[in-house]
Amino acid sequence: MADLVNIGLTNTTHETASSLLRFFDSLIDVARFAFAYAIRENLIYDYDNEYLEAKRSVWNVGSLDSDGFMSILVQTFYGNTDEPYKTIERLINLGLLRIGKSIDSEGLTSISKWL
Amino acid sequence: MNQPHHAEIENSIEEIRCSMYPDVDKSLVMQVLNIEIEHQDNRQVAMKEVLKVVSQYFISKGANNA
Amino acid sequence: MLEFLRLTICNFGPYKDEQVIDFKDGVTIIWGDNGRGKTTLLNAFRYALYGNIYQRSSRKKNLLRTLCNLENSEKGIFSFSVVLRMRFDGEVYDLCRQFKLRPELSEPRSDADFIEETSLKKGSSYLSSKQQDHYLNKIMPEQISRFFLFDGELLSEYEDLMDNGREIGLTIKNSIEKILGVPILTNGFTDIKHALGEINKEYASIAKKDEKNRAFVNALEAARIKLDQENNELASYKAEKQRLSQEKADLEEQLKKTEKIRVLIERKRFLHSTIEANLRKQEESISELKKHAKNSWLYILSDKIKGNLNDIYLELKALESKKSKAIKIKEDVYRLEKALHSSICPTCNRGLDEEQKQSIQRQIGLAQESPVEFSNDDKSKLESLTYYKSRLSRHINNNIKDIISHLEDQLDKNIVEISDAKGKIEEIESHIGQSTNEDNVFSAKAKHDNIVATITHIHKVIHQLEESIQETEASISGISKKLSSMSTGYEMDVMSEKIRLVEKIKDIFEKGVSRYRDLLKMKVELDATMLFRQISNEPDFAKLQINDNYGLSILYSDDKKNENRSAGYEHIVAISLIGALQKNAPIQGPVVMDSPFGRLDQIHSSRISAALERLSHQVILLVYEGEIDMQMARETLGSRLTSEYSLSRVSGKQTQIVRV
Repeated sequence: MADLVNIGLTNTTHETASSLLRFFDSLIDVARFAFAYAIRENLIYDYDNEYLEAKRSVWNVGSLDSDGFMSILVQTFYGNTDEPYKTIERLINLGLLRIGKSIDSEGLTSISKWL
Repeated sequence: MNQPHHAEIENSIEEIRCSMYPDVDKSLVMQVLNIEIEHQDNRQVAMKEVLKVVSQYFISKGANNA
Repeated sequence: MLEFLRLTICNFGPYKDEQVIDFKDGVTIIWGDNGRGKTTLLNAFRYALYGNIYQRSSRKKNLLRTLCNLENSEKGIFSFSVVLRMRFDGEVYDLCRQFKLRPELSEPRSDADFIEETSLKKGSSYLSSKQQDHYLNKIMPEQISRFFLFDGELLSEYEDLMDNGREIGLTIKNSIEKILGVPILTNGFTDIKHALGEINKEYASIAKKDEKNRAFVNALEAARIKLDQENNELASYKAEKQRLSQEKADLEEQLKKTEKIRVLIERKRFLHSTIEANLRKQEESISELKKHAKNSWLYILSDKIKGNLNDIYLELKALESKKSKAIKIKEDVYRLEKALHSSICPTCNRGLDEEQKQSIQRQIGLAQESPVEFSNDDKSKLESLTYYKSRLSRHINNNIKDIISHLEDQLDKNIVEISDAKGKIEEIESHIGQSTNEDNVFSAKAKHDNIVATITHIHKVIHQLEESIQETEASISGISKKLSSMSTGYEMDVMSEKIRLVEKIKDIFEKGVSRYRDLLKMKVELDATMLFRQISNEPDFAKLQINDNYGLSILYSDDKKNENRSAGYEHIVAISLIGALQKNAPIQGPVVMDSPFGRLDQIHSSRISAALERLSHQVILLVYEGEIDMQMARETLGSRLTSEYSLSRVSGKQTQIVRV
């Protein structure tokens, strides 16, 4: 099966990502942040029902992961796979969902609490 | 006008006249003073009247000496 | 002497229709609560005498409509009048001023819609408007009105006498000297000087007839022309200085009133710049934050990466060890096979015997039995692990969380500072008010500063001119003496005598001014002290001391000054000054006082009541009950209290003057 060429977000996660632009220069930086957060929090195993397949394509994998490092990380943490970008898309969205829930309950005043 | 209340002004002038210039005619000095009192609100009239009174003084003095 | 006989007001302020107050010698008390129209009565006197109205803030009011009685205005009656009957030097005068709506209008929209009519009757004859001005100036010039129409709330003006630098103080000083008659002498000096100038011109024209005098006469004429020019220039600069001084005084009054607002506006501007600075800091912090946030994802993964790196390192080590081993075995087998093939020992280079060959064979067999293979998979794994290691180890960042936390704290601080500053600005704006034009407030200050600089310059110019005038006069005197010694003849002798005499008169007036001023100050100081001691309840306050501006300081018995006098004592000193001026002035008249006891306690109020007859032959007090005890006032004044009135409320828009 071919891996993703474009990474997308759901409406909910896109909204969360946009709200984080207060602290980041671009959505790509937000995506990487959410991706890293999801890895650290082991969200890959989270079968949150809110996460559906991403609806909106936001980035081409070439622009999101121009040096392939994100792909390397996926390979490192989750073993070799032919579809690293599917995993990356999932991790980004799961990370944003979790962050979004935190924003809903506590508001958005800093990002350091997720570091 | 309030002549009694100008007494202090008259006295000040008279004291100077008496002590320093007794040869100056008191009446002339008082005439000048009265002009100033009467025409406090009109400087042009006061100035003209003072000149007139001084000139007339010398004319009448000249007539008396003649 | 001036006495008020009757005040008739019609439709003026709260006084609907025609109402009358009669005055006699002695004290008249008009009782009225706040808002009943006491200050309006004071204004009625001012309006009658000068055609001006003053607000509580002592600036002239423009809105004539607001002076018309409200109840009558609602009925369409827009006119008011004040008639003041008075006696001056034995003659009765009726001064009437009124404002009427223009006949073609039914309602006024501005002051321009009113017509003013003024008449002054002396006995039974109406005076012309020129005569009106002349008599009113004689009776009570406006310049000195503040000492006869006294508003207790404007006491700060008297405090200005203490400050020698303030223009308003100098203005009041000039007013005081006007009451005391000083200009009579200063004008006399000026006019005699002028007469002397004219006589000198006449002398010159006679002297010119003699040929030998011509050069001197020409020099004298040139010097006189120069003197005239200099005097004209001096007069012009002095007039300009006076005009600017008045403007400065007005501006100082304005600035005093707007000082609070200016301070608030300056504070507001400072707060705005604080907000701007904080916004700039905010921008910088956000930019810095975003810069660090970019790599924060790696910080999040750093522990995991470190853990992985460890594993990778171990795996790498194992692979490299395997690789080295595989390479070594391969090399050893190759060397042994080569030796076997060549039958030469690789170590000693001798031939190999059978036993040695068999040993080598066995070694090769052993190596081939347990091979260490470094496969292609191993190779690519080694490559990728090496790559991973280098990539991962590049991105471990330990302190980004602290940096980001610190920047977030700074941002929070900025937000709070901005929010606080905005709150304070809102509060200030509510004090300043929407209608305040902030630029106007500061333009007055700028204008004032400009005027101060100009006045300073004019002072210098005046000083230079005065010096030059002195030189020119000395030169004229020198030439005149020379001319006099050279000139002969009856005409010349008469002229010389004239000049000498007029010069003496000039000197008499000049010295008379200083003498009179010194005398006045001494008498005002003495009379004010006597009145002060009668009113003051403080035994340690021994006397008053006068300054060049006629300001009065309180001295203790050890001659030390009371530096910080209270508002109450400011009041007492002001009243003492008024009484002293009344006593020493060529012009004497009634004193009308609005809220004269405002800041005083019962003891001092009572003492002032007892001293009222020393203020003037006729005193009119506008007071509220509570300001002074009614019973106490009646007892203290006794027969000197010749009439009492009460300002009685009819409605919120109407007051009735009732004889008590």
